[in-house]
Amino acid sequence: MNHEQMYFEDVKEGLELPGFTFGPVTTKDLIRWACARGNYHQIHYDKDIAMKEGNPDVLVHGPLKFGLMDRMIRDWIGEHGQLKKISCSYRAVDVPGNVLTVNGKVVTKSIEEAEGHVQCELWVENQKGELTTKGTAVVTLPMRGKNN
Amino acid sequence: MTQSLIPPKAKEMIGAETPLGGPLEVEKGAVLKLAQALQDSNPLYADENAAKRSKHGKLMVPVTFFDYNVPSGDEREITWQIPLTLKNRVRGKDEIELLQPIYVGDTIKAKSKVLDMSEKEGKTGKFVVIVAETEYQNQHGVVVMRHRITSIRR
Repeated sequence: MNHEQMYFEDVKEGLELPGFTFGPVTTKDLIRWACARGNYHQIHYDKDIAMKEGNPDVLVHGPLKFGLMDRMIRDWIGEHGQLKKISCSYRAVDVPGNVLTVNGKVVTKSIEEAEGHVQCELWVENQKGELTTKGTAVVTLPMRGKNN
Repeated sequence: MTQSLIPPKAKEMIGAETPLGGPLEVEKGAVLKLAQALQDSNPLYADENAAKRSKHGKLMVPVTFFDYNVPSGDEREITWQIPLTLKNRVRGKDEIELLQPIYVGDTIKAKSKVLDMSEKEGKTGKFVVIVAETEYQNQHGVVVMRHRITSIRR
């Protein structure tokens, strides 16, 4: 975590989340993630099999991109924030060589049951400007002056 | 009349679920490997001292750590049993609801269930959408997370 704790009061609709880039993605990155997650589907590391199935190359795992979104939101909410929900839908494939930019912004904020809830949009875009993964997250952030 | 892509035997599998699989004890090294793969430097996953100083008091686990790593956490265990002729599967959507924080050292069990199945038609023809949900519980029997996965069969 490279920033101060974010508080509910500091958040405004439209506020951008601290995005980052991942890549250019290599096949080694995919294998490293696959081993950590126990996902050995061959289209993610065997180019012949991937191409036989009609893909341009091995494919970046969708859930790897989901993991990058989770990384961004967890970093942003800090130690005192809580992730409640996170989701994403896969719009297009990414392949090795792509540079993935992970980003997000605050959509709404509200106080529910005395907790500061924040809803965010998340997305992953590649270097061609293609939005390949789109998601949402609901988090709670601490409120100033409360014992969080 | 065109034949449905979902035969009655397949439709009957809505509601079918795996047994409760596991348990899997979440190990520090396994979480660290995932954090490294995602280039995630969040100290709450990796730094025991930082985690001890935090409000949580112990190392945390990213929500994307589970499914394939936990017996019965991979929804394909049940969804591949659906008798469809369509074998080409694409993951469409992931939705996670975290009910309680999950920590390194927790012992997690999972079960996956077929929630829904429907036939759709797109630009490239007809396909089947399958929605499955995996429920995770910890060593206290508390449900800590629900993960819904929508997949597409063509």
